[in-house]
Parts: sequence; C-alpha cells; structure tokens
Amino acid sequence: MHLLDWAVVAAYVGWLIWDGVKRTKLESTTESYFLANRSMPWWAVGLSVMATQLSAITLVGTTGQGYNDGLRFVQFYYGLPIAMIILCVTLVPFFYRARVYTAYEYLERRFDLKTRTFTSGLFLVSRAMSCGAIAAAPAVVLSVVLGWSVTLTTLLILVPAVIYTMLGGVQAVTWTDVKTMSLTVFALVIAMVFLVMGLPSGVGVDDALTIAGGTGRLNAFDFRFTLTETYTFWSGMLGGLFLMLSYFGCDQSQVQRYLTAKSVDDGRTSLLMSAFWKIPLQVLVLIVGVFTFLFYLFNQPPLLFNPVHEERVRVSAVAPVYEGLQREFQSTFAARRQAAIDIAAARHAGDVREQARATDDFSRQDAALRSIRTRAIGLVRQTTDDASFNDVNYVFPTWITTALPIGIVGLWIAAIITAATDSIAAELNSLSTASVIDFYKRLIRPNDTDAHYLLVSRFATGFWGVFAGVIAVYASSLGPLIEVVNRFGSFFYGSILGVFMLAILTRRVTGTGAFVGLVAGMSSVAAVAYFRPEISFLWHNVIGAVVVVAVGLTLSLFYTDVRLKPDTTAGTNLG
Amino acid sequence: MSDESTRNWTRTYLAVIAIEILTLAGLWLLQRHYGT
Repeated sequence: MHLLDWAVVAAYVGWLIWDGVKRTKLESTTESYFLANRSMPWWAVGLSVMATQLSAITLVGTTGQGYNDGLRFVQFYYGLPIAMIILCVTLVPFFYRARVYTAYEYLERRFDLKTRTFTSGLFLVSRAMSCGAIAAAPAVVLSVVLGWSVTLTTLLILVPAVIYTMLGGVQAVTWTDVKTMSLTVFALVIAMVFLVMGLPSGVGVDDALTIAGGTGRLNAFDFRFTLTETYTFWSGMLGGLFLMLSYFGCDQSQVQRYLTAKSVDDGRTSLLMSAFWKIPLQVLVLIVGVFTFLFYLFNQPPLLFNPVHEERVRVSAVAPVYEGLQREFQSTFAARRQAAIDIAAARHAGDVREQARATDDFSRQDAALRSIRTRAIGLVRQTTDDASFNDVNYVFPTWITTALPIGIVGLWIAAIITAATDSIAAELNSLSTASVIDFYKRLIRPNDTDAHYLLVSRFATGFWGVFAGVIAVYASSLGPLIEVVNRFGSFFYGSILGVFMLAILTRRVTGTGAFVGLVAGMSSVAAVAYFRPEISFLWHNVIGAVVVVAVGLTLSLFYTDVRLKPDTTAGTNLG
Repeated sequence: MSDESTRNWTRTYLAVIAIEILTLAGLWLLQRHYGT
C-alpha cells in the first residue's frame, strides 16, 4: 500500500479515537455512559443500528458471496422489514415504558431474577464469542493483504474500539457509527463506479448484466421449501424473520442502540430506517461483488486470491499439480473471456443464434474454471490442513489493493477497519452494560455510588475488549467467516425470543415456566444441531422460539401457583 | 424523553411493507430479465 493510503487510514482512525476521547467529559453518569441520557436523534440511532450490523464481515465476506454466488444471499434479509414492524408494535414501547438499561432487566420485572440472569448470561457468552469472530474475520484477511501478523491486525481493529468505547461510552459509539456508515456507503458507490468503468470497450452495463445473469448471479429468489438450504425465500421470510426479531428485539447490542433515542417514537423511527434501507444496501454490497466477478472475467485473476496459501502450495510436494492447474486456468480464462466478448458482440449485432452459441460456450468455460479453482482450493486444504479455507474472502480485498487508485485504496482499508471497529465498539458497550447492570449492580454490589458503577463500566469495557482479542485468535479457524457469527447466536437467539414472547403475549406464564421453557428450547436446538446437522441454522431460531412458547404455556396449565406481578408489569403485556 | 407515542404509525408500517414489495418486485424483474 502507498504511503498516501496509510495516511488516509491513520487520519481516519485517529479522528475516530480523538472524537471518542473528546466525549469523555460528557459521560459523568452511568445513564449518560450507557444510554446517552436517552437524548440521541433518531437518524443517528438509525445509522448506528445499521452500522452495528454492517461489520467488516459484510464488506469482505458478502462481496465475496456476490462474486461467487451472486444475489441469492439477499434472501436472508427478506423477513427483516416485517420483524421491524412487529418490534415497533410490541417490544419497543415495552422497553421505553419500563425505562430499563438492558432488555433482560425487563424479564426480572415480568418473571424473576433467574430468568433475567440466565438470559443476560447467555447474551454475554454468545456476544463475547461473536465479538471475537467479528474481530477475527477482517484481521485474518487484512493480515494476508497487508502482509502483517494476525495479532497485529487484530490489535489494529480492537485497540481503537476499546479506547473510544471505554472513554466515550455510547455517545462515542453512536457518532462513530454515523461517520463510518457514511464512509462505507460512499466507498461502495466509488467501488461501483470504478467497477463499471473497468468494463472493456464494447461491453456495456446491459451486456455485463446479461453475462452475470447467465451464470445465475442475478437470481435473488429461490422458492424451494427446504430446511437444508440457508438462502431461500422461505428460510429468509420465516427463519430470517425469527432471527431478526430476536437480534433486534432481545439482543442488548441492538436494543441499547434504540434505548438511547429521545422518545419511543424516535426509537421506532430509528428501527424503521433499517426496514427501509437494509435490503437495498445489501443488494448494493452484493452487486459490487457481482461486478467484481465481471472485472475478473475480463482481467486475469490469480488462481488463488490468498497469496500466502498459494505460496505454501507452490513449495509443497503438490507444486507440479498446482502448476498444471495454473496452465489449465490461464487457457480456460482466455476462452471464457472470448466467449463473454462474443456474447456482447452478438447482442449488439442482434444475432440470436450466435448469442446462444457464445452463451453455451461461456457456461461451459465458466463451469470448467470453477472446477479448476475447486481443485486448487482442495490442494490448499491438503497442504495446509486448513479444512475451512475459503478463498472467496480474499477476492474483494485483492481487487481493492490492485485495481483502485492511490488514496481510494486507503479509503477502503479505513472503511474495512472501522466497520469492524464500530461493530465491536457497539458490542463492547452492550457487554459492559449487561455485565454491570445485570450482574455487578444487581448481584454483587447493589448499593454503591453512580461514580463507582461508571468506573466499573469502563473497566468492564476494557475487559471484554481483551476477551474478544483472545477469542479472535481461535475464531478464525471455525469456518466461512460470514456464517461464524450467525452460528454462535443461533444456538440461543430463538429461545431468548421465545421468553420475550411469553413475557409480552400472556400474563399466565410464571417465571419457572419461562425458565424451564428456555432450557427446553435451547436443548431442542442443540439436539437438532447434533442429530440433524443438515438443517440450516436459520431454522434453529424458529425451533427455539416455538419450543419455549409451547413448553412455557403448557407448564402454566399445570402449575397452580400462577403468580402475576401486576405492580411491575401492569400495562406491559398484550394479553 | 417521551415514553408514549404521539403519532399514528399505521401509514408508516404500510409504507414499509409497500417499499419491501416494490424492492422484491424490482429484484424479481432483474432475475426474470437477466437471470436463469
């Protein structure tokens, strides 16, 4: 990377830290540190909600998915707008009326202490793990792209997050999210412009879309109803709906974002920003991936995008096999490139028969190239013992560092680093809130001064930052980056959603009923994951929620000591 | 901070659903026109 690019990265990261530190003096109470005195404007909260989800995994992994599979990943988000409406009607006003710091605090008022402590504990475990995965994903990729060690790139991502979150609290997190969200969208638009400009002469955008469409990369709908496929219309609409309900309604890292809003109306509006913009934004990220595929259709790509793994294969015993694949790759690439140019020429000439011939030829060469790359990846797995190696995560960073001009490269690397930093900062802030409010203040030291809790909160933020760093080192070997984070959560998410459903839908269920239901829901998900591993993790959320509600309601029929808590829950449930 | 809602949200929720339908329709047309 050029010195100017490094200057851009240093200037941007430095600005974020400086701005966070500047906000230290604003944070004099735990309410301001955790909830910004419930005073944030809706648009800042809305951008913060979106930025927390748009981590570096989105920029690196999702563009890679667009490159490899096209738009089909967008189906994952089809249930999101409906989930946001349901949350705006149900949980959001409940949380505001209850004036809680954490989502789990509400569960003690409705049920009992053990339900609150257990769900908050589950959040701490799953979110702390995923925080490590969110740091590991870009750290691994950046280490390869920049030639640094993983430890160093992990520190590059984690240290700014820990500093400005410890000092500036939720205000620093939110305003940093606003900046980074703006930078990310700008960087995506710039990338799109360069990718379109990079098409060869004689190939227009319409031709490019025809070629990409011919490979199935513009397919955004798969209507098959199957439990084993993660990205179908139905898994997105149903499994995705439950996942989003749980993530935005029961996960402190999201709930805390909209609890900082000025009013219940501002909280709702901030959530609905995601309902309006999430799918279009996700399409933009995937389309950038599709156009990266088109770029490497006309410009010779490396056989493997990860140079470190390629080098290891080159010096291994299978080097002659790899060199053979490389020669095959080059000739097939040239044939596929020619077929793509023939498609565009035939379209312009209006020659339908020639277009059909060229399309057939293109599909054949494309399948052959995929097969060569699969064999090359197999060689990597064989020589490096990295069974989960997925070259797709290195495609977009390779394009950034080799195809973009000086300065824009720095902008993109800054966007990737700070997208990771922002997501981690929001999670550290919420981890600190849950550990201090639900455990330290509630169970360990209930009657101390606010200044003491503020100090402990800053310390807790630092502790979770160190914890995430340790996890980051291990998380990198768990599988394709994009799914690691979702897998962690899916073991608990649906079941926790089930508890909140019991809390707001009925007053008949007792704390014990909810608690037993929660354990039953998690056990069911664990059993399904173990005995039927082919079932997609998206359906775990549905299974967990349904089991918790069914068990909770059934138990309430047999318990005679149905115990209501009208003093604290009056007006805070629906039935 | 106001804990109570001061506006009618029905039209906003309908707008969210309408935008989603339009977005999915756009993606469907993209798939129909260019896809396999």
